[in-house]
Amino acid sequence: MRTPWLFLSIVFATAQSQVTFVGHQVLRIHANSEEQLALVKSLERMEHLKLDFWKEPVSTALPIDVRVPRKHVHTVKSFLESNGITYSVMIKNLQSLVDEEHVSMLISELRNGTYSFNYRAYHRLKEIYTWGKNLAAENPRLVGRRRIGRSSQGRPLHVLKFSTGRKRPAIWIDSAIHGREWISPAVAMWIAKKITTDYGNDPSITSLLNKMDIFMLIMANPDGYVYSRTKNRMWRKTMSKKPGSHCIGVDANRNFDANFGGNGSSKAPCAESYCGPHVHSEPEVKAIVNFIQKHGNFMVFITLHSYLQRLLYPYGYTQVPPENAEELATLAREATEDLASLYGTRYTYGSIIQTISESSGNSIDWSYNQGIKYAYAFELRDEGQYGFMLPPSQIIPTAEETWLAIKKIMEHASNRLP
Amino acid sequence: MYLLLCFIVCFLPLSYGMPKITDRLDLSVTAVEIPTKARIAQQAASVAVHYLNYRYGSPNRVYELHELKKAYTEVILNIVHKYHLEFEVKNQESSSNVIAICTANVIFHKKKDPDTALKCNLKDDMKDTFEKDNRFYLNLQKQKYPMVGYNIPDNFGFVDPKMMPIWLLAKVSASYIIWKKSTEVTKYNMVRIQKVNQLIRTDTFLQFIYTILLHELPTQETVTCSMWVMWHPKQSLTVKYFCLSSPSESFPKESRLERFEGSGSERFEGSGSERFEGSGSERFERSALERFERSASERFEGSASERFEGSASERFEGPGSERFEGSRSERFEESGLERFEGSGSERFEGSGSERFEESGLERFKGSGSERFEGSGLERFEESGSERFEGSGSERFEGTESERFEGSAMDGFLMN
Repeated sequence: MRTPWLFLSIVFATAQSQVTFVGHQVLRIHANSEEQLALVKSLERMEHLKLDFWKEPVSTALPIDVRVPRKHVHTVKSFLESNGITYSVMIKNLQSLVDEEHVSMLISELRNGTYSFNYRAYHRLKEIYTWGKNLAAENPRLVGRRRIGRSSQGRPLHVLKFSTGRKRPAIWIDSAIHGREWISPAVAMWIAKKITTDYGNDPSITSLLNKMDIFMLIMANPDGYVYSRTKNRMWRKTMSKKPGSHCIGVDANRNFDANFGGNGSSKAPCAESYCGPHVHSEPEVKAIVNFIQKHGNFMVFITLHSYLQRLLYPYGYTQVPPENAEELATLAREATEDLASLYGTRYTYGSIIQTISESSGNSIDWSYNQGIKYAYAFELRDEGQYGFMLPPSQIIPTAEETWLAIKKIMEHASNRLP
Repeated sequence: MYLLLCFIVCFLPLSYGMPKITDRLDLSVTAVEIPTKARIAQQAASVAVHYLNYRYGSPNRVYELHELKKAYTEVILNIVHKYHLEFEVKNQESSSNVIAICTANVIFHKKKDPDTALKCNLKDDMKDTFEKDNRFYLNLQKQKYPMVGYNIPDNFGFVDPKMMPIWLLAKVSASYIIWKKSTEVTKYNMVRIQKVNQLIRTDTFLQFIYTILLHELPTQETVTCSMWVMWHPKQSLTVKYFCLSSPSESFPKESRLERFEGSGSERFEGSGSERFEGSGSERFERSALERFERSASERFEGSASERFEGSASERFEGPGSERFEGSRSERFEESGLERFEGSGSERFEGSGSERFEESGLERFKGSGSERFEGSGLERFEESGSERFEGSGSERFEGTESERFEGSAMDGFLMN
């Protein structure tokens, strides 16, 4: 996106005392309809106005930022007002901003936004929370952030909602439910950003978001993530304390109400796959369950894990195949083929029980039983060479290829809306 | 001279009525084909690849499964599951995309480690990788101080390029542990070196003591293992290990100590079982150190399991099988580490075949001759490195390459 660089180049140019921006205003325009959007686009074509769009007119969901030279400010504003197009004055006098120390503040705001966020690195939790806040702030019409609960240690659980209209059939994507699987939230953040840049540019995502909502829980287990970053890189579970046991944490992906406590989970509090004292005992799990049940209209449930390069569908707790097993298998095959088309990364796919082993209390079995017909778990890169410690240079390629697979699944669902 | 011995001993097995060695990798008529995508087929293949890496791997030869082409399974005497596999492997460290074809039989026992017989046509890979290995080896020999390393890779997946060969050596060494510990249900992956240090030896071998982490599936547990590795570019690996299994990392005191090979403790000279109380690993390290020092040339027993490679399958086929099974397993159980001196020969009367699988050095002490029995026939899967005679490891036996169709070290063994 051009915005930060554009502004900085203006600052630079002014510093050279070649150009002046006295009285120039930066307007933020919101087009409410296709007609209004077209009108703003026509403004752009009027070259004599010397308008400088910092955010191009792309869609009705995204803001349009434009720098207007002083002598045309009145003309542009009249044009907008007479057509009922809402706008706000972001910067009243660009020159004053350039002059003052507000510059450094604004630059740092731009620098810290999601445009300049380093997607090629593994971030601290605080940075991830800030990123989420910024993504919503930068895309107010498209993205909203909501707290759906708190972890055992009190950390907020934030869901990002991508929506262009009233409550629609929805897609759920969660990541980082296991602390040590760092690639999972890294990929999710890239995908979230990708959704905001694709909307209005990519026809399939644009049409998808005009029919469905997407919810992303980037940090499903923030306590576990922090512990894996600070104390024990191999930490998987939550950080809940169990009275009577010196061992901490529950495997959140064994805590769901789907054959809870059965084979493929452990009843030992010290085990890595400890299912927990009872169903939904973990606040992280309870928050997801409550949210999804309350919403009541999810069609797709996707959870991101690592590693081993697999695309899994239900069930883990029984050999009985899900009712639409053939459809799930075919879709998985197509999704993994799309994934492989980018860098040749090979994924295997199948039900959990066939592909890995028996597993009870996991999230996709639960969500499938809730009626969410497309429930998938991704085990992202790699195959074991680096395992959980995937080098950050692989984040973007992993995200890019995974996005293709997720898109395939989402598009399939949106084509089958009732 | 060895030709003559070889000739004699080649036919010993036949005269004892043992199954032909060439049958080891063939497919029984009762075997049933299973889909290659089946989890158990993939698991058996992964065990075979770990075995391959243990036997023929090195810092520049790290094989990964490229594709499983065919898989068959057979249940023997209702207790043993045997898998016959045909698969392709690739050397992940090689810049070329050469694919090698392998055949393997993997046998999972209920209470024992897997047995594996393996045959691969690796010759394309060997020359180039040997040169790279040799360069690493010579470079390390030149260093003034023994090498030390921690946390490889680090939390962010970074491996210092200087430590790459050390890491890859750990991977192929850990393949030995993984091969031994794998079952049809449980699989492992080495995820990290917590600590590695080099022990300087008086002979030409490189020796390292590693503490590594294995990721266990499907339990998701992290297993800590101490691993001693002896390596030389022209030799196959020698690995010994000891694993702790901890249900939760935070509380190592709670963890059980895995019995070393079922009985390792009493075998440690002057140590006895008390060495394993508490966190055995440090004490173990020290004792191992002493042992290595003393035993530079002759005491380096090969890894136990080798002895059984390939032997199990034939043994079960005949009526006499139970007898062998019983006797073999006891020996295995009581063996721990040092059981091989002198005992080698009795155990394998008339079954010269098994001896081929032994790696390590003890085979070389004066008993060089027996080692070549049957080598003409199917020893293609053995690497030429085992052919060293005497205790000096540099004494390579010249070989006629046709004896080693597809041998790993083809054309390599000239002094």
